[in-house]
Amino acid sequence: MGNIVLTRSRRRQIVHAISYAFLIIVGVTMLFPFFWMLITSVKSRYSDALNLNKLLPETVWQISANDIRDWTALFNKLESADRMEESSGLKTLWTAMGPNEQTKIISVVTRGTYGEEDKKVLVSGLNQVMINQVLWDNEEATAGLNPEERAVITNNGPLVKEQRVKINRMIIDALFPKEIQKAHSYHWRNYRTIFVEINFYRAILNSFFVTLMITVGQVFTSSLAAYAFARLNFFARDHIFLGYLATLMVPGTVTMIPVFIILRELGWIDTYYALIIPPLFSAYGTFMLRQFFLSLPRAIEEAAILDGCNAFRVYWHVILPLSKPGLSALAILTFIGSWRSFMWPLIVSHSDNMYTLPVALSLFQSFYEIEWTLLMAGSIIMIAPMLLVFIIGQRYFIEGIQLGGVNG
Amino acid sequence: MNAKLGITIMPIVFGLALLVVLILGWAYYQTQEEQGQSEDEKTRLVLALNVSHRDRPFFVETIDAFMKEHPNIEVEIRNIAGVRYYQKILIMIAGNVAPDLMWMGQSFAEFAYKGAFLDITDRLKDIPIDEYLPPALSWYRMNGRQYGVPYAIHMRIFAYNKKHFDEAGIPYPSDDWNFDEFLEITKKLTIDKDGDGKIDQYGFRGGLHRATFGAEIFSDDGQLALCNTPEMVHFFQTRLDLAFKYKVQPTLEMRNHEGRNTVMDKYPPFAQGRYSIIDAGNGDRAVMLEKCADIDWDFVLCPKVKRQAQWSSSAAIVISADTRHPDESWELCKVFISDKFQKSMALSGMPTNIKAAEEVIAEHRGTPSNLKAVLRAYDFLYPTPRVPNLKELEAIYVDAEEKIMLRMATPRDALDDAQRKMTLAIKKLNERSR
Amino acid sequence: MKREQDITAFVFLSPNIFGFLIFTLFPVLAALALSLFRWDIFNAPKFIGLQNYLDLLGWVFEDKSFQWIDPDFWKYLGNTIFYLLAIPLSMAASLFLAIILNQKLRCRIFFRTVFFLPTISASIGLLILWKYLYNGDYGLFNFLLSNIGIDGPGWLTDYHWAKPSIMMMMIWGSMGGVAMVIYLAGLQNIPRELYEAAELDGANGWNQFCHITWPMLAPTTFFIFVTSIIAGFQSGFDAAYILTQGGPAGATTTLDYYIYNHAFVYFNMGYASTIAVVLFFIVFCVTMINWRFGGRKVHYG
Repeated sequence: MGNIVLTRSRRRQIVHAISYAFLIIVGVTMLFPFFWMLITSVKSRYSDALNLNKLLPETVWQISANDIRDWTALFNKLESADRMEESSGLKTLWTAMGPNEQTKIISVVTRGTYGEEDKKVLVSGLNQVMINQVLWDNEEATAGLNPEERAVITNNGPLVKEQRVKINRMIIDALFPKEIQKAHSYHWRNYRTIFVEINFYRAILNSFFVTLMITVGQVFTSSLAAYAFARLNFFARDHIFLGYLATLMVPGTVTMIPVFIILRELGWIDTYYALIIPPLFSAYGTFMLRQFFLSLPRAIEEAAILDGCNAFRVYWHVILPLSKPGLSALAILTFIGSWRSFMWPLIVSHSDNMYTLPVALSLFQSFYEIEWTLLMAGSIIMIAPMLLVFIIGQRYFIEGIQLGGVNG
Repeated sequence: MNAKLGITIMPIVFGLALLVVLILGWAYYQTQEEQGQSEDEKTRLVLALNVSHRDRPFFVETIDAFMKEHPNIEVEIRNIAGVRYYQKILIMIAGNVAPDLMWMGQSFAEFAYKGAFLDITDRLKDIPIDEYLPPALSWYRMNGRQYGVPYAIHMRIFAYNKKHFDEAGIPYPSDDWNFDEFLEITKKLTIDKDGDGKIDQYGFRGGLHRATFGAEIFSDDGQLALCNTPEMVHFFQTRLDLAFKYKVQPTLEMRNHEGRNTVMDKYPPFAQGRYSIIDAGNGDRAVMLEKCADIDWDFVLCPKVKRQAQWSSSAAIVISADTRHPDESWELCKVFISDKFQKSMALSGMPTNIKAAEEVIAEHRGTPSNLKAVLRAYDFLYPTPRVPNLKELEAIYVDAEEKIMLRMATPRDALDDAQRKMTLAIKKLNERSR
Repeated sequence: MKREQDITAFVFLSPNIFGFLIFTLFPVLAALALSLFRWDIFNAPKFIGLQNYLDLLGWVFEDKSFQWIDPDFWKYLGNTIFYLLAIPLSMAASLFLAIILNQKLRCRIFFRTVFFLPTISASIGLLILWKYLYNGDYGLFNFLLSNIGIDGPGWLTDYHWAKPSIMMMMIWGSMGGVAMVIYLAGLQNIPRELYEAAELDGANGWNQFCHITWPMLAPTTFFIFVTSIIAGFQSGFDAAYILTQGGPAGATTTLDYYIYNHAFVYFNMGYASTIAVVLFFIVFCVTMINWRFGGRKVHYG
């Protein structure tokens, strides 16, 4: 007897160990894209965000508007460089910026105020100078470089990008120690930028509202219908169910326009009704729950019916508690499906304030270009609630629902 | 046990219900608020836009300025993401909720043929129409009536890596170069740098335009398919030769056919020095300034084979035929046609107003130094003809093109097949529209 | 008695069925009916009978006779059916993972969540990542292969490799997803006593699987299979749209992509509906066959 117990637990240990190893390997492949998205979301918008060879965010050598700490001081400093007699780093910079930018900067200082357009002018002027490496042989600008870096500059040979980044940053620091923050590697500010550039708050709110309504509605109405299909015997039951099933087989692309026209007649276009109600009545939930209900042991139900419960009481007190795994699976899947749904909200809503998350994020794409870093940041925000729902919902998969008295 | 589960379920259900009711009330309040706003006497115009992130601020600024000038007009911008733009517009039109003004690009002809746009021929007297590039105007003309005026031209133009030329000791190409010179140069530029048998630097990546070979897919009115003319066969054979015979071009990338500017595919490798010459676009200047900042690059016109030709596309803001406010829409439309607006958008597309285009070139500084090549190209722009059912016919051509480039069929066979299919398709489409 | 059951059933069905009729069933019927029309969305639909079906099958009336031109429908149908091969593989993988994760392991929730990540991540992010991995020149796979000395193929650009590549991607993306979740729920439904009894009787793991797990999961398996087939026929759209634009030379165009092109790019709504009708019939037949074999063999406790 002792031998058998030992080998059984030993066997279980081995099985567990193999399972762990397998899970870890597969898990890494699943986690990798997620980390890649996370890392891409903190890269600079101006960098080559998608390059897999450069996985980690790199320091950008371009200045962005966010890197400027003190605009007024910057404008003033540059304008005063114009009036300098001797040559200096600042004066070189000023001259290199070109007459257009110079004029605009002078006008800003004279005016005393500056707008977005002026900011753009300043930033692009600074960046242009950095591209053209105009300051590189200027004493004041390059004062902080060590001999190696000096050698690089005088060499004029091909440069490694890291060297150039470093030198540019030093020059910037030398000329504008207080006015410009250092350019960052990890651009967490992308997450803030999303909220600024599109109406992200509203999109999140919309998504939450719509998804919650759809989930509750689907689970509720589907479970009732599924119970009828699974346990009740009525006229043309199987045929009607087949009708439900059949609607799943027609691609959404062709039903889009008929539904759109129906909604237009109802006047629901661009309202919450259009976002919530049509997806609510998909046959998916009914189908799924019917299968679940079918696989429940009949014994308890029969006992309850013998006790005199009518159908609704059986449903409420017996079936629902028993089918927590099924219901929570449906709730999770409906939540996720509706949260991620892109085509439908895109079609039925036009206004910016009716957009759900996926549609709002698609605003970062255009025909030729995609703002990858911002898109990834938004996607990460989008994933978070789904992850949460999934983790919480998993509680209902753990043993909690195992009944002791199946044969009771 | 049932009771215990009942207790845990109930609060959740109640909590959810309460939450739902609260949100419902808030949402209802919101919709009431918005409806209230639209009841004053302002005219509301809806503008559907499909412009990149970079360009959007220009539109917003322009519209804000417009609204200040015209206090009785309120313009609402609907941003629709690029990839599904036409589908969305189509559904909006089908559902009678078309926007008053919308952005239009390549698919202009299809929508225009179905009568989706407002005829603005008679309103053109309000603008200095002579200043605008006549070919560009003709692209938005249908049956002699004008339906829009484009504000930007995006054309294909070659970009080259100056350093590669310097290293190989070749002078920079001139805008008047021809195909033989092009071939010589690319041969010299295709180098196996580290001697491992794999080419590290390709002379060329991209496509020449069929119009330079004198070939066309179909006639200008779309009635005659011209797929298997000798010029077209020669065109494809040359493309194959560039990759397989002269080996100046990588082969796997040849899937990217004309008109599909997959930015992510070609600019990063170009910036890394894998290609010496690529086909770029003048509208990608902003992207290239960022992504190719590491290298010294410049523009040059596509080489001349039988004649000079540059593929181009354009963008315009057009007015919907169903709009309820045609006059106000035209006021707004004029703003987008104006030379001031076009100049501000010059980074993503050259102005169609010739005066504005010349000013842009004159004021241009920095990379690329040969921007004036773009202006020269104005004389030979070759967009795909705007015919009805363009996409369907194009699909036949693209299919043949892919078969040829993947070497699944010889140019002759695939083009003959395409010719047959297209002739039949044109016939069917004509019957369909009767 | 029967009448009472009917009324009860009606009460149960009513919250669902009215919405279902208006927003799901009716549009489906309208969409199917559109196949008899020619509709370019801007103008009114025009009735043309079975013309669309003839076009679909490739028969063109020309020069007073029927000619057969090679229609792409059959090719795309073949493509779609090829993707269906991924379904049993994916289901097996999901079941396998579900069984592993059903054990009393530590960090169980962590693993389940991690496996579910591809399903909830933004598909565009994943697709672009795979596009880079599959890149013929500098993608990761070919890079690794070249280190071993194998010249990797053009995963997405080679005519013969495009579909298997996408299939691999689809299996990877879905194996830890919905199917696994549903299998997990189904596994929970199986009473532990059955396993314990079998263990006492001396059955090993494989026997337990064959005689307890698999039969008890029959309704779940049927559900997953049917929904996968249904989804499978409509799949491949994102991949085709973003990765390959239906190429190379139509190798990755699935029927759903084909329908989309005809509906929204060529403005040929009637023809698109025709394709949808044919698709519907095929899926329906496949499902009916499954119903006969799987649906009836449901385990009634």
